[in-house]
Amino acid sequence: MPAEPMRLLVPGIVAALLFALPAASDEYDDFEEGFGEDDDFSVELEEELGPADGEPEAPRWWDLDGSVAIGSSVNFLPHDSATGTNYTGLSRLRTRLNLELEVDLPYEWKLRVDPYIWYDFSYLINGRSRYTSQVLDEYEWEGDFQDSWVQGPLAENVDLKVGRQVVNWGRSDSLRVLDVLNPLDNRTPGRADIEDLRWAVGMAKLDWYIGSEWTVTAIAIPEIRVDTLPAFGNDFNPSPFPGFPGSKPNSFENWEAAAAITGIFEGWDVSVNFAYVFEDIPRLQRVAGTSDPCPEQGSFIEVYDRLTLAGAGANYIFGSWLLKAEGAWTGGFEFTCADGKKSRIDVMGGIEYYGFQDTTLVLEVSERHILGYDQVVFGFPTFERQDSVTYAFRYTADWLNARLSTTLLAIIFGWKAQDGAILRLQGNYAIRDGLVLTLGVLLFEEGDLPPLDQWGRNDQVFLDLKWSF
Amino acid sequence: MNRILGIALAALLAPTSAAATDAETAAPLTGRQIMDLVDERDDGDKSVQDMQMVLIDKRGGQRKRMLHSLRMDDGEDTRSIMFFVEPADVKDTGFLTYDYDDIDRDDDQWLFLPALKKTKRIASGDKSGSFMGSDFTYADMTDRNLDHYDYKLVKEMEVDGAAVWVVEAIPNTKKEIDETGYTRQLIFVRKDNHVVVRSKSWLKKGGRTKFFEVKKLEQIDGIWTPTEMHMKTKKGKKTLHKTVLRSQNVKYGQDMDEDTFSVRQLEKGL
Repeated sequence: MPAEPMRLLVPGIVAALLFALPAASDEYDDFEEGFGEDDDFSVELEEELGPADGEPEAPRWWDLDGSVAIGSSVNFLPHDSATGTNYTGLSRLRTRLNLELEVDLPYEWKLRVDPYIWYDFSYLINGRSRYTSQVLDEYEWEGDFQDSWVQGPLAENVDLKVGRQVVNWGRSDSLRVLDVLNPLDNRTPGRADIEDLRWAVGMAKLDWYIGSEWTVTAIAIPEIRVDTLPAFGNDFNPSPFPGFPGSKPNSFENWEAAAAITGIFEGWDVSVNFAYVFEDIPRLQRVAGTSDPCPEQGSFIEVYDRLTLAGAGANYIFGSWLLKAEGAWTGGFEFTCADGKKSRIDVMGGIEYYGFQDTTLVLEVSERHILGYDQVVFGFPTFERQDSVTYAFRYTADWLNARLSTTLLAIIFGWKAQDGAILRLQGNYAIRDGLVLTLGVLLFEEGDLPPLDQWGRNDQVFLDLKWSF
Repeated sequence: MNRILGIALAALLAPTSAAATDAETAAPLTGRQIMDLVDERDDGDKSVQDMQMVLIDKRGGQRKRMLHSLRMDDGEDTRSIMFFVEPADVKDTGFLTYDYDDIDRDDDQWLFLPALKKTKRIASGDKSGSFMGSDFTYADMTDRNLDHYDYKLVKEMEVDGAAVWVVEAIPNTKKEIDETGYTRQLIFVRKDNHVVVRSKSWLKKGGRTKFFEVKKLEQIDGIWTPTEMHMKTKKGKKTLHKTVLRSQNVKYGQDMDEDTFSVRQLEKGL
């Protein structure tokens, strides 16, 4: 070997050995290093557990949990509602108490009662006289029961659950195709995945389990509840006029019904769903005798159409992916200025990805197609296109060992986003066990159609503190 | 069973018998043979227990999770269901898993979210994520395939007075590295009962290492059961986070069947 290369090679080998030796030592020589208590991380556990094989404490036959929360929202863009109320600044300062009582009954039956009450101080602070009576009725305080039911087995493979409850058939987290049994609290749009979004409804639900894979469900719904929409005078209500007369169908005089067959299999599941329900949003119907076929303003009453839904949904997983789909035909719609009943096809496709550590990505797309569409439906007061496309994108991630979780949710309306968008970004930080601070921002992008064409300045930041006990 | 058990929860949930050991056999065992012994343990069936998970941050702040857990073998597969008992804001959250032995089958997992009154099916391809915010990952909880690793016996030593083999495990597929997040592990196996009592794992990301230790090991119903385990995540010599996992009220051979591990039960809760 020539001298020059040798001169370079020998120091290279020596250097390589020098660098390699510590690595080898780190790999195999000190097997104790890193184990045991660290000087900088010695922690006294706050309590001792009982013996590993001890007798468990006798379970209590009742359990009372709950939460206390205070939440505020501040609108940071100057704007007024359609009635002229200034909604800039503090728009929510709500204190809320939730209780959850669960009682074990004989024969494996269970009782649950979830009362809640909240009061919003922002109206007192801003001056109650600024607001319409409808706004004060809907937003100043509320007390009611959410889940309140008894549940238990009628036979080995038959369960009955009677009372106010939520039945969520949908595969989608953000878009509704099959999720039609519980109306929504939409008084502050954009909080579409927050707990208590759905109103629990009084119903009797019977589940018959056939083998380990199939479930047949029959539901009778005597309590009629409908969506709660932005009240007249609120900045999310675009109308400068009070609502029209009319009321939702009376409970117990009008029943809803539903049924489903669900199969759960390795890697996938499927359901077929049927519902005979009232629409959750009222339609304006001309009062009899009105001659103008479709007045810009006229005599209307609010009515809720009877709808019949037949649909199906499915999930399929492979690797880190979850595919989901929903589809439904719904008949019985009427539109204010159009003749006859219409029907509608709704489809939803979605994909979830779990391949990034502590992160979930969700993309959902829905298409709503009105059959027998009449162009007049696009005008006042319905403003509906024949085809309505909605996208929902969600990103959630955990940080700091799940002490902090962040969510980005974007709901975009229209094939080319021409009908507006709602964007929510929030972070939840666990200050300590059961105590969670939430900070977020809710943004609205104006669209071509009501009501989103008037929400462009309703952007708000929100800060919530919740203690669960 | 051609698998190794995940070293953390699986070690807790699938304990070993105190059967005769090969500790004193004359012929030295290979790394693979040692892991076969770990794999072949009698892993107790139809178990129920309460678990306390203490999450400790670098400032010493502690967060606690209490879980009630049930587990059952289904042939070569495993079914488990867990419910959160504490803290109150996640109480009644349930987690149902069908862990399939066949690596070509994706595990089935469902999450019940009581706040939304909804059961969500979730995909399980990536197991490197944190289990409920702890230093344990989903990969630590579930069984892993022996054939996806190359093993080498690197040392024999004592840990807390017990003789152990130290086996190096290197994943031999990129997919395994991607799914578990580990590039290499040192596994400390007790010679007398084949319990994994320690491990050191190198993470793919961030130059981090994780140290697992069984702090308490008890015989319950004749089965060796780790009842306190520590897992800490370090970067260099600095500890970033630590999790203590303790169990109590451990019972085996309890009355349960496949209906116990169903979406129906998940939604009904404890």
